[in-house]
Amino acid sequence: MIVHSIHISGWRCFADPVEINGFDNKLNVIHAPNGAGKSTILEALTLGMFDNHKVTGAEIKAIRPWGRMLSPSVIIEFSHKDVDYRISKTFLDGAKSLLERKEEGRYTRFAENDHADSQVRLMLTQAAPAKGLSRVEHWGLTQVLWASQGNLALNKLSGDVIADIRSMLGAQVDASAANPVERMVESLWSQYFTGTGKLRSGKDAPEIVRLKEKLHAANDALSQAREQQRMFDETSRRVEDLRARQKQSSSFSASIDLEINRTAARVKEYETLEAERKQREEQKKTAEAQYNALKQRIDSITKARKDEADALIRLNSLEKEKPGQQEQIRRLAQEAEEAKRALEDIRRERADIAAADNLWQEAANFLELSKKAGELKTRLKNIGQTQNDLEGYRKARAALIAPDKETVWAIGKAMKDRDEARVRIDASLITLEVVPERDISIDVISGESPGINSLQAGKPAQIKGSPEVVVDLPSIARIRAKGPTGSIEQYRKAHAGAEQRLKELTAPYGTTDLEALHTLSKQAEIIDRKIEEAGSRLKILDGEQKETMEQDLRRVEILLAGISERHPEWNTAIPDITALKTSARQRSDAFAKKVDNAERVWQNAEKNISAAEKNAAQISTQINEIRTNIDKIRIHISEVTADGKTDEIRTADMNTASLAWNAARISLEEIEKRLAVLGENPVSTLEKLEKQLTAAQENAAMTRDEEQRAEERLHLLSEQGTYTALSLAEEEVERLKRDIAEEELKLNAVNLIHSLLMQRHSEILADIAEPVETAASRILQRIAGTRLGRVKVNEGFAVDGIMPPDAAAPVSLDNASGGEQEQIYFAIRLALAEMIAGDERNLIVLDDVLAATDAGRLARIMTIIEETAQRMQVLIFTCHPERYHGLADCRFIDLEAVIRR
Amino acid sequence: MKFIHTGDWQLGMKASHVGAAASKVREARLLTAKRIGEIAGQHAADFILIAGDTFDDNGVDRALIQRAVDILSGYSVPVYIIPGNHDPLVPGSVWEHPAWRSARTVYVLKEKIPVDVSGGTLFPCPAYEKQSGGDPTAWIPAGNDGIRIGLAHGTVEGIRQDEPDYPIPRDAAQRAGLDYLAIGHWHSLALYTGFDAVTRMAYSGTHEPTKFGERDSGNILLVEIPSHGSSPVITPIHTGLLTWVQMNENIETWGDSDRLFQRVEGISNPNETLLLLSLSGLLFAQDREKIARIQEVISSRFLYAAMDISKLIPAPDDDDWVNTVPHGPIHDVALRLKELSDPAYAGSRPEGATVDVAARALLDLYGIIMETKR
Repeated sequence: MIVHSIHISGWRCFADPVEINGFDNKLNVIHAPNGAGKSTILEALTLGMFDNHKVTGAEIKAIRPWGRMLSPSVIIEFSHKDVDYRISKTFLDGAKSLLERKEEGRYTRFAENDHADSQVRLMLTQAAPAKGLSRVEHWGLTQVLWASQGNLALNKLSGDVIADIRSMLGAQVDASAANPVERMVESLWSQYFTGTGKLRSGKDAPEIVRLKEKLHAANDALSQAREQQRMFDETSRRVEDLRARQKQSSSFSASIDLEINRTAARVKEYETLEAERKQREEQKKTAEAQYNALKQRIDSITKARKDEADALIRLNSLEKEKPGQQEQIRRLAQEAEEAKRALEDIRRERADIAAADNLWQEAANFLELSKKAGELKTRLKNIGQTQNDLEGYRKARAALIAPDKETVWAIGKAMKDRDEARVRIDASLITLEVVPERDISIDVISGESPGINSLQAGKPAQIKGSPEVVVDLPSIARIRAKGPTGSIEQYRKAHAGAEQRLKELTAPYGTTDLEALHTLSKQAEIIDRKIEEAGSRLKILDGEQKETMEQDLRRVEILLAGISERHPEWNTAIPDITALKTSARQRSDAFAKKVDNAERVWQNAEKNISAAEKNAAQISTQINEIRTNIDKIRIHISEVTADGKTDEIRTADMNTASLAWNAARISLEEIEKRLAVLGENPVSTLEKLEKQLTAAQENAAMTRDEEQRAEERLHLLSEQGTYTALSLAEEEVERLKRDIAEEELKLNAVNLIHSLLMQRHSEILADIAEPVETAASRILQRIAGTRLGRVKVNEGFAVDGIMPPDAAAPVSLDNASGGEQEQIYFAIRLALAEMIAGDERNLIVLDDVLAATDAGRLARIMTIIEETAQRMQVLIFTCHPERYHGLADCRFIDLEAVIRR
Repeated sequence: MKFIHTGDWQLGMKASHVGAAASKVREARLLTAKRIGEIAGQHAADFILIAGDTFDDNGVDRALIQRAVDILSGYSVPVYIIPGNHDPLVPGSVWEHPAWRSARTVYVLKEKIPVDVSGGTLFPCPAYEKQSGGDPTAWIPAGNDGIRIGLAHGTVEGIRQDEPDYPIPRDAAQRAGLDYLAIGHWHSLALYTGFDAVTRMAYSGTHEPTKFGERDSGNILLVEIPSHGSSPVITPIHTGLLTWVQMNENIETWGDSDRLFQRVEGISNPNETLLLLSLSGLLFAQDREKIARIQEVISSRFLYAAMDISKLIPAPDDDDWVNTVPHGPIHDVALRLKELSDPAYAGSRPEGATVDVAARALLDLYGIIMETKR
């Protein structure tokens, strides 16, 4: 389809009719500044060709010029398959549509209103929807061919366009006979699945979904029926068990009852025997007690008599031992007295031992005192010497008048200040030097030394002064020399100050010679050091304690005099302390040993006396005790024989009692044997049996109640016909499973066909995408060179990315610049347009879509557009017509000029 | 003495294997039970013996018990019944239903004690539990006093079983001096001949078949014993109302489906017939419609019909129809499905593309193509 003219009226900015005609079949550039209505022209072209004239809504109302009650209308003249048409559409008020076909040179009515709309759309797209026709996704192939402002990118083509493109690009894979089959497959598949491949749900859900829901419910019912049946069987078993238990309980109760009767009879017999046993037991006890009493009396008499005899024998023996004991004590006392005397004799030697010990200690003291006296004398001598030295130094120091270090430094500084002041004075004086040729007298009128001065011939003389020097040279001239004034007095004052300070500082020393003063200062320093050293020495010698030392010396000498008086020989020969000490020790040790031995002998003698005395006392005590015991035994014998019987009679009585006891015991044993046959006391057994019977009866009652409840439960369950319900539930589940399996097979089969078909489509589309990529890449290479590499598109012909020459995998389009991106989109559109164009001339529209492309690449694009225009009609809308002036054979349409007409 | 020996009526049995026909299968068992009374009358039988498993379970619907009692009460001769392992004499059993008390000619024999019957003595062996390892006939005392017949429920020695199931010795009748031992439990008719070449023990089998493939079922036995010690005359009488047909057909060439169709159409009384048709072999595309037609016919005419074509595989040489499909995606898909429907195909398979599914898909695709050509 190519367009020849477009007439718009009542459309946005075009309230008045505007017509653009005379479009070139090849290349057209419609230019105007921004806001002039370029995009409105494209909009009118789009709606005129695609939209339904009866369309309503906010979008179509928005195209009515603001504040006017106009009906937007558009008239487009175009050719399709070499036939000329004219479509006239009016929207909103008085909406209508008319398609005219040029026959024999003039337009003739061809279709109107809805027919007209659909006829035009059919020329542009094969599968237009009923609504939303003006949206780009419904433009059919013109989605590719017409690029509106800002929409150069091909993001996602609608399915029908992809089909159209595929059809055009690969007619060999889209045989017409297969299409109905595919549609039927799709139709069948869509009965089961949504577009995203999920199983349909809700009211559109396939049968299998409903069957599965039923199966779920049926399974629930089956579980319930199984549970009921299980309960039925279980309850039946329970009733059976309870019946058996009931039977067992009855049998058990009967057996216990029988046992109770038997046991009761045994209890009666047991109680009779037990009473008899107790009686015999009592008889046996009495006889036994009687026998025991008699036997005990006889035994007691016999024993007492024997004890009395034994005691008399012992008493006799002890009384015989007593005199020997007294003799032994006396002898031992004599031995002890002798030992005591020997000990006292030895102890009297103690004074000699102490004297020897004192002697060696006094000798040691003598030597110690002699040594101490010597030391005290030496120290007192040193202190006297040091005190004399110190006195000498102090006198010398008092005689020497010398400055200290600080004074010498102050004198030096005063001299330095004086000398600096003198130099500065000299520097500040005006000096006049006169070298007379002959001896002359000059009169210094003003200067440092005013008055007449005689000068010798050839000998220079300097006259200084300040602030001027005036010299009168008799008969020759009066010379006046002037210099700068001001600082000389200051320097003189400083000089005088320094001189005065020097005088004050040096006055005590009688010299101003700094060297001499230094020497004096050094001498004083040496004497001071010696005084200090002597003081320190005296301190070490403890000079201050001299008097104490002298007293100590006197006291020591007195002590020494005392010792010398007692031991005059020590003045001539020093005593041998070691020998004296050893001798004293040996004597002391020998004495100690002797004392120990004597003490031990004496102590042993004393112990022996004590032991003998103790033994004697014990014998006396025993004798007394035995006598007391004999008295007691005799009293006891008199008591136990107080019955007045003879021993023979007592023995006869005991034998009689023994026979009675034995008879009672035999009688008791007989009863006990009969009781042993009966076993333990059957009363407790009887009690237990009675308790068992009660428990068994209670248990039987409980079992009976439980059985009754179980029977009722069983009756209710059997009334329900649990097995029949289970059968029906199982049959329902099985039936549903079979139906589901059948439906699943059907569904899976359709899904498999569909998925294989889709897979094949994808493969085919991938094959088709390849030539599009090649063509687009070729165009892009002509525009931008090889840098961007190959363009990659997906099955829907949307850009997948680019494949730069060195890249291992495609990279995102984001890696390209904005200008390059629009060049890539342009290349894809053009490639697609060329591939789908066929023999029909189609219209390509580019609405200000290359705004970011630089001049160089735009020039190359124009070359490509010129080539394209050989096969298609190209319509470029732009606000920069100068950018396209390079196009050859192009019709430029100035929209503003058209509007002005 | 002349009597009818039957058993294993399994009233109220589960029939989940026959889908929607289950209730009719159950109903048929009652109808046949009713007819047994008529047959007894026709043959002037003295009484009827039911050798256990009258009901499929003790938990059957109570109304069914009432119906059974009504049927049995309607017989012109007395009926002696023993509980079987399916309906043992346990608490809550069908035998506790009050309907039995009003049935004067119906005797539920609950104890192992001899019962006088017309012309002799009956030794009943009721079942008290679902399983037992004991010989139910062991209690029968030996004797020689008139015609002695036993009524028991169990498995005759020699029948293969995993666990002892009321075992009955093969010479049980001879041991107990019985003239005839009527036994139930197994659904097929079986006669047991002793060493004296006389048949004194038999399974009558179920009166109405219960499943596909059941041998010699749907019978009762008319037994006539002239005197004690004489050989019983045993006459099987077919009573089965419904016919259970199981057909395993192999299709090998074109046209086999036509012949199969004719055979199916030739089955008489389809409304009282249950049909299980299993097809195997090769499926030719052109046969698809015929197979579908068979499915239609059996589904509409038969009481129950099921056709299993899972063992049919698309014929490997059946390429003609595929070749008629123009080259393109559909043609490619048809070839791929043919490949996937071959059980021998070892290549990769898309998810869910089993041989069954692929074969069905291939048939469906063929159907779609044919439909679009019309």
